[in-house]
Amino acid sequence: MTTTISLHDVGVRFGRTRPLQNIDLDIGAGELVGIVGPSGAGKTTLLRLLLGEIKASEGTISFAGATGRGGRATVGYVPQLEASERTFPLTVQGAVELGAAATSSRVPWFSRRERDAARRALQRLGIGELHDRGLHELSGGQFQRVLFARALVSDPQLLLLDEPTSGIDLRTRGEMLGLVDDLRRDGLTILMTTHDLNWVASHLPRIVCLNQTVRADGAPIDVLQPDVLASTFGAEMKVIEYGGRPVIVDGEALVGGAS
Amino acid sequence: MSLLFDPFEFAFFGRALLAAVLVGAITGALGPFVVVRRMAYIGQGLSQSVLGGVGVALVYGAGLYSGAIAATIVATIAIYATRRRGVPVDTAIGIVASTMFAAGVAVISANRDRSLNISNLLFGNILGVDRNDLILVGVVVAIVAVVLFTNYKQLLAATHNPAVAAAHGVRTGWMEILFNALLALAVVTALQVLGVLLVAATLLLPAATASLAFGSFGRLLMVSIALGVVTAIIGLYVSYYHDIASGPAIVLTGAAAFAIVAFGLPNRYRHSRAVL
Repeated sequence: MTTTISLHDVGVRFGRTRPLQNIDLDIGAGELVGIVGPSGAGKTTLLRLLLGEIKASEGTISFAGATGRGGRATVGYVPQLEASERTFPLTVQGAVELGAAATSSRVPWFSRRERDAARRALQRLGIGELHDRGLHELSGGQFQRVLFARALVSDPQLLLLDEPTSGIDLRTRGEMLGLVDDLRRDGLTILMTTHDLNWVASHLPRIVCLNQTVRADGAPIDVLQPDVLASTFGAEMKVIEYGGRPVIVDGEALVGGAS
Repeated sequence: MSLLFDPFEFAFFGRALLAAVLVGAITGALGPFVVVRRMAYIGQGLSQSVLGGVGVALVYGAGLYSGAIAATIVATIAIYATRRRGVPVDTAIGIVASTMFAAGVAVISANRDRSLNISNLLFGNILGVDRNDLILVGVVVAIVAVVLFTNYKQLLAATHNPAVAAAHGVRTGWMEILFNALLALAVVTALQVLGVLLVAATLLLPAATASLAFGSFGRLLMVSIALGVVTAIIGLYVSYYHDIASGPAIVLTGAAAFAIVAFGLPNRYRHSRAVL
């Protein structure tokens, strides 16, 4: 079952700081949305809200059609690539099965159904043959697929990706995009945070520019405008068009390149 | 064969061996979690902190274990309170552990007339294990075994990546409390056998040795338990025949096993990126 997420006038306070305020956002079932903004803009706080790690200080968040605990959507979470995770003594199969740990039985092994689900998730991501490898034996791209498989093993309604394009090469980014697109077509609602403006501009159908509040929301060609980028990132950026898509260039780089 | 069975002429050896095996199993079971969480300093800090409580408890006539349990609770609260003041966690543990250790030594040394042997507290006195100690160790082994058995998957998920585990519905805060409680129980239980200075080593050595060869956490855990038990048995025989304290004998046996695997294991059997 898919879910629709609505945030109405949502704000978060940590003592005197307000990382998020007046957030109004509707995300439909099966949408793929990129959240962009500078460091400290509140992207991670927004993810933590949707994950249920923190509560909104004001406003309301609703998940229509949600089947998770406390009326929330069931979530699959893919974190940023971390070296420490890859050195952990686990096989690929074992790591993916851990995605089902919360709903599994009390015995210390996974059921046949759970093991099969993990194997199917690996096959869906094209790495079924790596199931008995150690995590430390994988390339960056393979490891990211394992993280996706772990997030998908319990069949979530919402997939949250934290900076999925950081630390991976261009080819792996392309593979990841194809994967994300396939998942969206299957009806999964997907949100991803990223710093990579040009990547989202050329690949995502919808972008939310965030800096404490929503600065702009819509298709890349409409949203990625110099004034929006200036208010979101606090820096001058040039936008040029290439092949019908916006390309963002650092203002200073353009001046330097011209000289 | 008489080398194996001669020590059993003394009643204390059977009790000592059983205690050493049980403690080896507990520390061997918790060790892999300690190693992969890179929290060796917690075991060291907790065990050193125990001396403060034990010292005060023994001087004022309370039991060894009640003092140890009180000390682990006080240490946990003090570390938490110190961290809340903005002090980094390793510094907070160092400050609390050193202070409580010093307090223990101070209280014991100020009461020279009492029949307290600080060496036994520091390095263990397995010969002093009585029936009540064995019952306590047995109960703790049962608790650790049941808790690990019923929470293994969630504990492993929380250990691998707490943020992801929490996002997927694992109660990571509860898992953290549960694991720290098990660790505190293990430290208190191992006190009589290993002494406050050497408990941490037995949490690390079997797990670290196993981690050199195994890339699957389940196998690592099983081998770590086996190593904890085997090194405890060998260490106890070494202690008996060479008349040295049980704690150092067990730790040195574990260290020897680690050295053999670390430097003698052929590369083809090695888990190439060990977790250390």
